Amino acid sequence: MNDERRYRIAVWIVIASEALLFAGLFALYATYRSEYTATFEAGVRDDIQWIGGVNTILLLTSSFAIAWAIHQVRADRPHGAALSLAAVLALGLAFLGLKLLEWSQHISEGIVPGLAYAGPDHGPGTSLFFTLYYGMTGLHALHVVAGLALVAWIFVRVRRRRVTPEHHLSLELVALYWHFVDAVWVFLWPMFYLMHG
Amino acid sequence: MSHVHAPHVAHALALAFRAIAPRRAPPSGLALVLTFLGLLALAGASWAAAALGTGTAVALSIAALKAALIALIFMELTRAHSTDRVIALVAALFVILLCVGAVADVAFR
Repeated sequence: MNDERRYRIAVWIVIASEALLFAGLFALYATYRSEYTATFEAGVRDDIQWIGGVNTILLLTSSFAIAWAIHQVRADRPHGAALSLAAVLALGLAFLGLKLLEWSQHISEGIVPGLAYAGPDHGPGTSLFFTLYYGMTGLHALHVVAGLALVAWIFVRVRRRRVTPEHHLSLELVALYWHFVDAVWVFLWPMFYLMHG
Repeated sequence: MSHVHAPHVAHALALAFRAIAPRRAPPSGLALVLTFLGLLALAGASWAAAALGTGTAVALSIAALKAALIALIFMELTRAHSTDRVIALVAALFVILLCVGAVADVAFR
């Protein structure tokens, strides 16, 4: 087995482990939603719908942009690849900015996680819903931060011509991680913004 | 007593996977653009389904379609090594199993 295979398998195992980490939280959400269906539907209505929608478009576009960067590198167009990666960085930062805006608005309304919750009362399970909301979107945001750090690193490598049509494994592996982060959000969007009954 | 070695099982799985889904060339630029447009269309479908109140199953099914497109085209699972495909498939199955089990636990209590 050569080094490329080892690195690819390692990244896929990391992604599989991360998927199982989120799976535990998805299962927790599914359990509590089954228990407190009406409360969770009301909680979803409290979230800021336009931010959830715009953030989805931002992440889907960023996934396309990083896939396009690989396409550009394979075609020996480093400038195009660098531009695509710059777009990924801008889109990821915009995602985080909107997420912070949403959290700050929620906090100003008393919608905070855990026992300190002082927002609208939708009955038993309200605080649970928002604790899961902060926990799951917060964990996802941490993954976005990690992904952005990796994209910034690969952006520098592309700019320095360290990534070539023959040797671009590092870009492909960073892209795998970024796509995974996008795929997780694809499920968080309906769970916290769309499934309101 | 016969012994089944894990590497042999993994190799057999990888061979079976390769036979079912042979490796292809990298996605073309057009394929990437069409996938992106498909994802945007599915995002629109998610929003419309929520506005119409079609429910949880529809919302999660559309999300699964989006995730499948991302995995198969953007993550290039259609051309990945069989071992990578097996890892991805097993992880996806475990995620589904865990979530279905959690819902079933509450539903049949």
